[in-house]
Amino acid sequence: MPQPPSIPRRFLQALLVAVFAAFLLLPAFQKATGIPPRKRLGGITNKIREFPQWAPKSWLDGSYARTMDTWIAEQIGIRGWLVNLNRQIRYSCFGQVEGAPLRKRALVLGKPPVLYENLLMTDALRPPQIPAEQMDNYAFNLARMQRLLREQGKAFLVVVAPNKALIYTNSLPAWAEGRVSDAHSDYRPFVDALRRHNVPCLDSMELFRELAPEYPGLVPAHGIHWGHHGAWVVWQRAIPLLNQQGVLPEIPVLETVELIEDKPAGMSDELRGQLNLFASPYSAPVPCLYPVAAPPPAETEGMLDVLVVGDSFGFGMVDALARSRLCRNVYYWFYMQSGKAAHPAAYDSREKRGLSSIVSIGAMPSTDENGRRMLEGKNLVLLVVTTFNIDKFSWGFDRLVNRLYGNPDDNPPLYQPGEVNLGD
Amino acid sequence: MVFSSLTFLFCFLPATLLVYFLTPPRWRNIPALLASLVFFAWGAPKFVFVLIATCFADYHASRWIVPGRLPPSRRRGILAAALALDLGLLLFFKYANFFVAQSWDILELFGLPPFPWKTIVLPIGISFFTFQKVSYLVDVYRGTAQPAHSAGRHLLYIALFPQLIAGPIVRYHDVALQLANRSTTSGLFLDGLWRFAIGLAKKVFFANTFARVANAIFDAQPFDLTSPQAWVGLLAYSFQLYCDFAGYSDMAIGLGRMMGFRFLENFDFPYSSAGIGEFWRRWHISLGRFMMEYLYVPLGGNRGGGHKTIRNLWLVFLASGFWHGANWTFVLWGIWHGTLISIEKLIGKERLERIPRPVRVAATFLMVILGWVLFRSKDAHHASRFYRILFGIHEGGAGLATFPEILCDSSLWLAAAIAIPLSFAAAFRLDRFLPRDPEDPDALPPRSVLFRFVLSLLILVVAASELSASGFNPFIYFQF
Repeated sequence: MPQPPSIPRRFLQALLVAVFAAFLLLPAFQKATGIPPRKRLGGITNKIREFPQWAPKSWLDGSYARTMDTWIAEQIGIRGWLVNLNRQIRYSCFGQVEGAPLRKRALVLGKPPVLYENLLMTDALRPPQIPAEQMDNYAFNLARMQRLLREQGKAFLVVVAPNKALIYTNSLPAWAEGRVSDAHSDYRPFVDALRRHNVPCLDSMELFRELAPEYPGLVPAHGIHWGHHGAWVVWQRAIPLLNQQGVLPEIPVLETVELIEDKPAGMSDELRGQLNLFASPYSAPVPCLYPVAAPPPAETEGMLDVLVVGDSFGFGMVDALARSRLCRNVYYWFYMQSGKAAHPAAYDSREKRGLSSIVSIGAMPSTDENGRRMLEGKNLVLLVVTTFNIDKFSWGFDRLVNRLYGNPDDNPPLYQPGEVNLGD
Repeated sequence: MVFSSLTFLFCFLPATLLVYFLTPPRWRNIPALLASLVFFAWGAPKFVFVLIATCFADYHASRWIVPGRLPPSRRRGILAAALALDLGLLLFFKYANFFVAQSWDILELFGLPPFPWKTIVLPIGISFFTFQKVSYLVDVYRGTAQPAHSAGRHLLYIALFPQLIAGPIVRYHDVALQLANRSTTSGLFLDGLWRFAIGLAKKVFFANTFARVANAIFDAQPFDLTSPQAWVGLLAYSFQLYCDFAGYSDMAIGLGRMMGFRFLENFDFPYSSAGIGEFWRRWHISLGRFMMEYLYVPLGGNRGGGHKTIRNLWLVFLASGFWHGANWTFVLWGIWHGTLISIEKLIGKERLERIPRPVRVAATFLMVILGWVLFRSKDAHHASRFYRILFGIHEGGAGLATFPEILCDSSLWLAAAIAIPLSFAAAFRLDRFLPRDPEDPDALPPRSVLFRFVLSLLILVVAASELSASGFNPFIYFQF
């Protein structure tokens, strides 16, 4: 017959049970009192915002339980702390980082404090994806598109966005050093094909490599995209290429009056935000440069109506266009899936760091009607494309322009467009 | 609902334990039963009615099959009818799709079109609770246990949530008394917490880590792999399966203890076995005991001499294989183990023991993991290709591109460095240095109690953080 435990022993055991109960009840306690305060997570969006409504049908088919599981996982008040703890353990013990829950390996740690995005890193490491013949067909289409736009009085420029992993090679993690190369990406064959077909093109990769020794933050240490300064430099270099086309009146190249160093904002800090760590050598924000543009001559202010078609580098491009005050309206067709607009004629880059006036027009599928609306009244079209998005073949914009302004029966050589990537 | 989910940890478990312990001891079966039904209905709402109805039928049948109540032939008839109902449901839900698919193949051979069929959804845990139903009926029929005092108590035995979905398969006579009367102490509760935390660690830290490798290898086309990659994948799967299933069993045993139940062990260092017979005394012990007691012995066991013993063993392993899943791979897996154990019987224990134990352990481990190929492959064709790559019979492909990256994962190496030596600890009698479950948890030294508690809480916090950061996290044995 076992002896009953002593009173101090029973007290100890009861105390431990109480501590365990407190642990289990912590989320309920947090919900009731707000202590500890919720910790915000970077890089995630919740799938379910409303508390799931019970209904016999949803309960019987099991969908209620699934929705409730997801709701609990997302809304539990200590989730931010738990995810941060998990990230910190994985980072500190195993050197692993994951951008956000369920987004595996979105981040790559470079030499501190530089972070890379996995998609662009993969693009710099993988072999070229597009066969030479398809690339040539694509460049041919873009050349024809330029001709058609020119006939409509619209200037056109392809802007090849930079891949951070191909520019800042000194900050790459040890395992990637010496493995990244232009030859491992579609970037070089793309630029070569554009030049062969005389498509006006700004190669920001080359530009950033040239400027990197003087301005190491053109793509910020914690950003994926070009920073405000980087996009501005690109726009400055784009203007002479547009003037060479002779479609538009002479556009002035505006000087940079001043570069203000300040804390990073928005997209310049997005990778650090996704780390979700308590502490690391990457945790401190890295200041960025914000250019102040010289005011344009009065007669050129608002002279441009621009359509930007492209991936997420387009946001920075819109900022640079606004900073110059040369544009009356800027429309941005994001992946040819959603529309955004900015009316930046009065924008003063000295007063504001970021472009706050960009607004969403809403979902805008790539139909002919939407194409007509977006192109209407524009005198400049910019196609902004990242190296790993080259295989998306401008998301069909070249074919749309051909349908609107060209001969729809004049079919270009065929190629297989890739799937739309809305991840970035 | 799975134990390794935030819904279970932070909603179901605290609510259940709170209500359970606030209820006077004599009424505690009520919250335990209600919680179990909610637990089951969370994953399989429709089938909860099937479960309740069949339990009700079993309970009433059991009252008539008590020895002496009716003439033997009528008792046998009632038992047969009740067993037919339970096993018939298992056959229908688990195997109907399989037999229909086989019929379609046969019809196709004769150029006939397939007949229409709507896929049957498998109720979660049906294989486990059907065996418990069989155990209840047979125990009552044999007189080794009295019928349950009430239909509710019988339903609680079948549906008790810690072991409802993936075992251990608790025999009725092992828990009949506990269902009527059990004591809960803070010592036993903390002991249960410790066991639950150990199980959670096995699942979240070890099984899930090995799963990353195993899934990458087994989800690839076998002929794309190289032979070393296939071996690494097989080893990873072997330890994933062990940590996953043993982890679930630990959690079930731990939860049971928190509520005052003491379930029998389900694993005892199976990879330390020096023979297939020993392996089956250490792996999924509750299934082995069930098969022994309710199938092998009624078939005649080893009473009829060598040939009949081997025939009975074959039948048991064939049934065990088929119980695991409606797929030819599981049948082949059962045949594989039936063959191995028959060979072992034919060679004889004395002759085998002349071989040094480490060699026997290594050979047993090799045989067991070769069987896991069948267990993991999606069909026999896939398994056959995998075997050819393993043994270099087929040249193999260029190899999995992500394999070097997988091997660079230091968390995998850490998991392997801990799990592999521990799995083989009993082979070298090192298990005596590992903490064993105390007979009386209240007699543990306070320092041990404190140490186990702090470690348990640490595991729970870190595991909860891992679960928060990852997605759905099912157990392998849920599918069976």
